[in-house]
Amino acid sequence: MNNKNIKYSVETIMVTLLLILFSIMVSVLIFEGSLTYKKVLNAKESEENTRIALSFINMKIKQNDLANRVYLDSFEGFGNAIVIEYGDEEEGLFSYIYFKDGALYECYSEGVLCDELSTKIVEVSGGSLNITEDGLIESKVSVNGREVSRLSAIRTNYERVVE
Amino acid sequence: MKVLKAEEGFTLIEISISVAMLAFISVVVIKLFLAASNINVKASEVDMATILISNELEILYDKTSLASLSDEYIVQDEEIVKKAYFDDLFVLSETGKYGMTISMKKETDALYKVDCTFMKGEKEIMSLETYKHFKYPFKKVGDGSD
Repeated sequence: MNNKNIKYSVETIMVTLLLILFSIMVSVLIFEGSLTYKKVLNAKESEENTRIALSFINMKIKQNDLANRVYLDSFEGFGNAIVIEYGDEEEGLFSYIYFKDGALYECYSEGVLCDELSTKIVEVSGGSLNITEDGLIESKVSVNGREVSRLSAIRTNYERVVE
Repeated sequence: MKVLKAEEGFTLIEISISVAMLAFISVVVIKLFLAASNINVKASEVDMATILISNELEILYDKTSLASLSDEYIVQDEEIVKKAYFDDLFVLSETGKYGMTISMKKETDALYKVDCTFMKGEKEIMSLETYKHFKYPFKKVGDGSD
């Protein structure tokens, strides 16, 4: 093959094709790799957020679990919310924990539940709060195509059973 | 090194080596992604095991007497045992690849040692032990019966 004259031969065509194949493979690898990485990260983040949301609710209930101080109530525009009534130095203050617009919120106020006073705790794809037949608070969060529910026993219910 | 000194551009051998290297790197990268994905699945299983066991312990915490335990608890060789199975989405089912066992063994009259195990087939995902005190171990609350 003469260096000064460009000649197309089978070898040149094969090399060009392989080069194109190489480029396509690199592009596909980068694209698919980035998609997979994002998917893995998103799945991990959703799991983490779910764990944070459920642990937060459980921790709040256990921290403040005195008879008739923790209960579930329904509020217009907010749905079910866990209500925590504080005592002693915080007498008259309340915490409302609720799911709204794909996030878990806490509103710490003097008996008023509103968006302005609420703090976003963590974003979750969907959540709900209910009371089970046994009287336990059930927090449900949707994550990666399944529903995770966590139960929290409350002293108010315990007292009711003992009586 | 005639091949390397050639001026026509990449040769077939060079491209072949590049593709082979790319294939090798791809395999390594894909393996990394698979490992990451598997770790996520395992973490999710441990998470769910923790949640399902703590849910069962919360229900137990709420019970004040042995009589108030659900029918799912059966007496088996001096132990009170409950077995539950979950499907791939961790939904309660009659059979499933995940199994949870809660067994209670009497320590004193009112104190029971609780062993919780969560399995995936034959493989243990997590286990823990705790104690449960029944305020009225042999009485049904409210009716005074034995």
